[in-house]
Amino acid sequence: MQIRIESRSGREVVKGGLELPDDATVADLQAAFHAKIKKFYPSRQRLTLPLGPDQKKATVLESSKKLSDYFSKTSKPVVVFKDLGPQITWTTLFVMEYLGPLLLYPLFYLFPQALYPWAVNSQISANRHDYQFYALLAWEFHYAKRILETLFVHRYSHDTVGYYFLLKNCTYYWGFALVISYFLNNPLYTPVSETQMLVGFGIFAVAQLSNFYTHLILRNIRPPGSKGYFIPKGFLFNYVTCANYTTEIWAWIGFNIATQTLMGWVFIVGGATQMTIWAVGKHKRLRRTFDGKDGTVKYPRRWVIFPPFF
Amino acid sequence: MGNVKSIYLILYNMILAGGWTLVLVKAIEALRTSGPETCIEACIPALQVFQTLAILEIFHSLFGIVRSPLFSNIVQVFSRVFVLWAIVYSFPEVRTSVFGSSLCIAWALSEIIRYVFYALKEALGEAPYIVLWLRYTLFIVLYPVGAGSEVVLTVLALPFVAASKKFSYPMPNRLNFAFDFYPVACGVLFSYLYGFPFMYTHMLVQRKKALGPPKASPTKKQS
Repeated sequence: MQIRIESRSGREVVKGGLELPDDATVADLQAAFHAKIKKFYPSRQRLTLPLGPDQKKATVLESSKKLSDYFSKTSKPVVVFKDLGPQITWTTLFVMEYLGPLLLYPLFYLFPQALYPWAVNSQISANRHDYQFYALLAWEFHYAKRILETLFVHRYSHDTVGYYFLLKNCTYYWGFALVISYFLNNPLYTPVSETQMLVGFGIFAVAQLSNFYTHLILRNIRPPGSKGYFIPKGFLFNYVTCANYTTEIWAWIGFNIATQTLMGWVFIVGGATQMTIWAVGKHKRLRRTFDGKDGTVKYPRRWVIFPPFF
Repeated sequence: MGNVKSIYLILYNMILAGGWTLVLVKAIEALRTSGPETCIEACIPALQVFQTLAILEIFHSLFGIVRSPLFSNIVQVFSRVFVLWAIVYSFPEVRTSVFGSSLCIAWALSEIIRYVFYALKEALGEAPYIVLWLRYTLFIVLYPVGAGSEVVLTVLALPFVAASKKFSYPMPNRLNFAFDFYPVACGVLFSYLYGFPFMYTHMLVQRKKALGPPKASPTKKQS
């Protein structure tokens, strides 16, 4: 089968096209393309069928399918190629963005003399609170947990992600780690009451454990190597579509109740907004995939992310 | 609906063109009667109204009422509103600087031509060539003069910013947050290093698009 590869403007990308056996898969096509142009490794390629006359969204070729599923023998097969840009794996992205907070946050706790040069030593030692030590433990626990989960627990429905996400996400995580730590470990820090602190860290601890459990559930519903979508079941997932986000948000609410910094609240409002956007997307996708028609399961009625509000 | 939008935009641009004409008249009057040191003081009330109204343009862009790039719009409006309210209004000490007069005149001239251009374009579909040419030519001089005056006035205000502690929110407090206007003002000054070339090249590109390679009917005149 002779396949013509063209860009979205119709220019031929691989001169003369690619010759593949009739029973080849899309993955074989991607490999052959990669062999011709070294720069475009498979995860960087987005291959679609040309747009039909009334079509708005192009059909993306799935790498596990056969070329013969898309093209009849008689047609002259054309595949439209889009360069997705340099890709990194989700694992790299997550480890990088969490490594910043893990390493940067302790600096203000460990080296107050150097980082708050305007404060005198007596002021620093007089204003050391146990709270700040507990906050440090909570923070480090959270990011260490996330890195370990990234490496050993998570399974992804996609392999890679665009390179620019690294810059964007690292700016967000590293930046907030620095400002939150700056104010929390500040010699002029004002702690909350002991009861409030205990309540806050209590919520944090419960939410963190629940969050870990939701991640285990998500891992187990996705068999190794699979890419499709599944209905999460059990524990909090019986009530909320994205219970993993719910517990994440509650962990940070707990942290902020215990530590009370304006920047900490801004951080979680920003994070919760982003997670809500993702959760709405996932909720809609699950409702669409499992619509109860043609004998499929119907997606049950659930909260999206934050009961009892949403 | 299209009509309402059009009438609104014509009115908005005409009112602002009028407002900035008022600023220009006041500035020239003050220049002639009592010298450049009194210029900005005389213009402040009018500036407070008409420069602040320009914030609406960010929303015009945001809600797609006009087709103009949101980011450059924000940069432009923010820098002027900042200089007007956070510097000139809050630190009266800088008002006697002669750069107050160059600020008023450069702002007023560039805004009058800009709003007249938009009002005519909205009303007639296309502005007369002379207005188009002025809109995309005068900025070459007016923009550096205006931005330069903004920078000088901000620099002049810095010692007063440091001394007065205005707008500062020091720790300790229950929010565990601190704000100090001095580094923020320095940050804004620093951002001109990036913002000015960005805006100037943006305008030069716009100029090329608007006046550049003669189109199919370059002699098209207003009937």
